[in-house]
Amino acid sequence: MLTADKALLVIHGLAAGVLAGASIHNALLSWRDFVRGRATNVRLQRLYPRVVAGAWLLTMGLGLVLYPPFRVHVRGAVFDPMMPIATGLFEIKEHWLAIATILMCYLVPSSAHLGAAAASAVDRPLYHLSTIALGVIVAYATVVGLTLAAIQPV
Amino acid sequence: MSSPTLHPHGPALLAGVITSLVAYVAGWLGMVPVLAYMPATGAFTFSPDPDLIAMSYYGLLLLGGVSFGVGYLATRAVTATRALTPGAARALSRVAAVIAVGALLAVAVVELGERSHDGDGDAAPRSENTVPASLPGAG
Repeated sequence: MLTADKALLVIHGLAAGVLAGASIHNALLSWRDFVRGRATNVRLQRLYPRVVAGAWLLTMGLGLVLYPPFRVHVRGAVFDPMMPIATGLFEIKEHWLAIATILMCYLVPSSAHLGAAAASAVDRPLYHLSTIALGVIVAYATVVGLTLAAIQPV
Repeated sequence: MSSPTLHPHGPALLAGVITSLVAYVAGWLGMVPVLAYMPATGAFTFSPDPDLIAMSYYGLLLLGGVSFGVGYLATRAVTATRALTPGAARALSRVAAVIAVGALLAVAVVELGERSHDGDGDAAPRSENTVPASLPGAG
């Protein structure tokens, strides 16, 4: 039966797909720009963080709404007693996303100032490495979230 | 004078990241009080009933958000009258990077370490997002 929680979980998953696409593409742009030293599309480097921010707000907001029923009916009833490693992987996902949220408070405003004039900025390495880390974190969170939801949805 | 960072308020943003990360990790490790949500009662409290499920994730996010604001505003107040040197801004960005990497690694090591001990039959989880009993400061 499709409950309200399950419907929200589906929307949460769709929003996470948008988030994963934008953040991983953005990470690849940073990899090409900063690590490989090749020319990249600055317009996309400015656009992706805005898409990431919008998808992030939606995904995170829905996740926070779904958290109490998940905590009681999924983690408390299934994962903790029978699959503690699933709880561990979920906890890592949640804390990494919280840390990534903090980094985004720096990344999103800074992304608007990317370009040729920003080549000498002292925080350019931090910006690009954080963007790459964000892509890795979101990829991990998407895989773990989808896997755990497949094992035991809310 | 042009800013040494990408964003004109880059030093303040970096200071916000640093204070927020430190506060979040301190709250996660149980070093500072964190507001907990009790799904059974729908109440928020700093002293959750140990017999009930308590969720401190909302409180941790709140703690991180408020700490970001404090770090950001305090640094804005300082840099409003005196611009930060490139060296100081570079140091801020390096400190932020080190703390972020440390926080990510600490979360992975502690969480996986805790779960690996849960397979011996004592699968009762520690209270969510609180310090593992094996760490100093556990309460």
